[in-house]
Amino acid sequence: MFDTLREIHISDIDIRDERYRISPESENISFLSHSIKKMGLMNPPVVRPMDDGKFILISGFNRIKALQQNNESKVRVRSTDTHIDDYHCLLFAVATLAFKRPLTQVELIISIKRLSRYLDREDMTKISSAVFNTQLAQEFIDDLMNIGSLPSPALKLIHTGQLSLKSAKKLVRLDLDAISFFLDIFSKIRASASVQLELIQNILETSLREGVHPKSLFQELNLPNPLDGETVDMAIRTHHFRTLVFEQRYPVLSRTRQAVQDKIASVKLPGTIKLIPPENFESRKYSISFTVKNHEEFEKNIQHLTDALENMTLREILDS
Amino acid sequence: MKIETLFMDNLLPLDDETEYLISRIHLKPQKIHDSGEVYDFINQADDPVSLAKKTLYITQNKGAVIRNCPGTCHYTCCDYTILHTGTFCTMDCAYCILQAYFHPPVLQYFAGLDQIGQELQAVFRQNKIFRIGTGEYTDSLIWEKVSLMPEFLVKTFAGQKNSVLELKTKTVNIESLISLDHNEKTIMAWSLNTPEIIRSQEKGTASLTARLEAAKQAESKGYRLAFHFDPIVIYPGCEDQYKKVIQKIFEYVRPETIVWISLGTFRFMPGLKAVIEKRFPESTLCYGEFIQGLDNKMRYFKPLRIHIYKEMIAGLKAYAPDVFLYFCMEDEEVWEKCLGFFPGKERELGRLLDQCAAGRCNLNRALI
Ligand code: SF4
Repeated sequence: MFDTLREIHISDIDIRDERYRISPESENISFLSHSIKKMGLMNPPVVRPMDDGKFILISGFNRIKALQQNNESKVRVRSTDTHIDDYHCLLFAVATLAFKRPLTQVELIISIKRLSRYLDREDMTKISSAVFNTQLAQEFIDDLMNIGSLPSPALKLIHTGQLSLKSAKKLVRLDLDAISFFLDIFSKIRASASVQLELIQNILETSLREGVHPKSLFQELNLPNPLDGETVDMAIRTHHFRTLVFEQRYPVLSRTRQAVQDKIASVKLPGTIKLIPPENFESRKYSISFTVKNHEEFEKNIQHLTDALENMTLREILDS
Repeated sequence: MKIETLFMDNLLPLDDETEYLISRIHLKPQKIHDSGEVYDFINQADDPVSLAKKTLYITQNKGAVIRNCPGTCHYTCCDYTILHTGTFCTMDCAYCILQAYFHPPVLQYFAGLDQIGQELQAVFRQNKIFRIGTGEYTDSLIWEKVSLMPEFLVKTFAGQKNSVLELKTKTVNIESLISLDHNEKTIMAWSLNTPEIIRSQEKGTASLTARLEAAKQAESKGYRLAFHFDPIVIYPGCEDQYKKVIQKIFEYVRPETIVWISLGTFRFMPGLKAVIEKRFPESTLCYGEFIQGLDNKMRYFKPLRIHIYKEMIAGLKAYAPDVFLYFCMEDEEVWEKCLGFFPGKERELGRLLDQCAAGRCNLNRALI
């Protein structure tokens, strides 16, 4: 399958042809450039010779880019023989990386999407351990293929951790407008996988209840979308957005919680004493707790609670 | 929904009851040795629930024929007794818990009037009031047109004085029962909802008007009546809609013939949501403000429940101040805020319902 090592001109490599590329492009390759400068190229890229005398890359995209950055004109490569086919080049590209380190989710998705041109899901499952260095179930392969068909920037968001596979799987079932709407949201926030799922569910359920498309939910409800415009920090923006979405999904619950929190704040208990309402107000049990370091603090807290007995708002909270 | 496939236990005798049933269903039963064959048949479908609604399995009840209703902790239960005559239903309500309760659901008809008769006689001999219903795991009257069971039950209950039979339904299948001598021991009960909910969520059921017309007809023959607002669904404008339903009840029937009216807002096991979303993609039932209740079922946020209950109770009290109203599975706070009392003592609600049954159905009051 492979000829021996040979030296070629970098300009003879068609680096725009990325048919075997399975890793997203690294934004910063300065470390790699520096390393090559200091120690030379440790692993030669693998290329496929084409009929026109040019080459296309099977592996080593970043290395070639780093060499270009170092103004190198030639590179030692491993070249395949001339009659190797596309399928085997792709298999080689995937397996080389998978046996070097576990593939990232995005690499797995890209690999499966590309291989699906040659293999059905059943065959892919059969060869998965030999190619991906792990056994993949058919259902998982289906999911990854579906996720791979999501429009951009889905893969980029998965790569940056802004979209979990589970959330992506939920999006796959939606129409294109809704998918784009959610991808836009996730490109503007940074939420844990469970919060992403909560957001998707709450937005979809509110839209269904209101009979509007998710993408016009905010306009229909006359709400300012906290993701529009310049909002500060990503974490604050995420928090505001999550709160807004929850308020639309559970309006009465949200208002009740807020009203009770306001009332609790107006009782002005000291910071050491916590008055916690029952979860979702289904039971009537409020919990009151305080922490003490010594007996004196204990006495103080008891005194605060005794004073609070006269507080009408507290009575209202507990007896409502 | 029309039955398309009929299975029958091989060992089940062909007697008057089964012959009558088979002759009216107009299908030749496939005799089976093992119930697994029915389960396999249903499970192979893409939508086992829908297939199960068209597949009848005539069998014998191998478990307890008479059992206590499984209430849930934290919420007050009414001490009902279930007469287990079958499972599942031919109608197709989006919210039906039976879709998720059985895996897979099987439409079973439990043949064996003798067995049921004997078990009931044992109940009738006890010194205790019983409120017995067949509508817990099925609709009480789905088989009325093809089965001898409803008639048998009404007649059997007519001959005793310590139990009432409640036939709870969304059908208008009362033809075979209407002229029976029921001796006031059968309560014909209808689950009611707003026309909008009936139209959108209760596929295959009778309309509100048809149910009330049937109730009126039953009343005219001396039957005692009950109504169940369950599940009450909260949606914009529902207060007025439910009040209109209440008004309509009393355009058809008199308060004096109503033994009780229950109210219960929609609640569901979390697993039901996925079933509803899959089988009824148009339904927005599950997108109300549901929180997880203390029994782990999803329930409307309590202030919403209290609000709709108060509105409905005010409407009901205006027309029927003396009719006993109760909640199905609610807690002390809801009872107190909406009805002004809480049957907190053990079996208290059951005792109150026994009193209603005794008063309106002429049971032996000494047993309360
Ligand atoms: S009538 Fe009752 S048993 Fe039948 S589908 Fe509706 S809720 Fe279920």
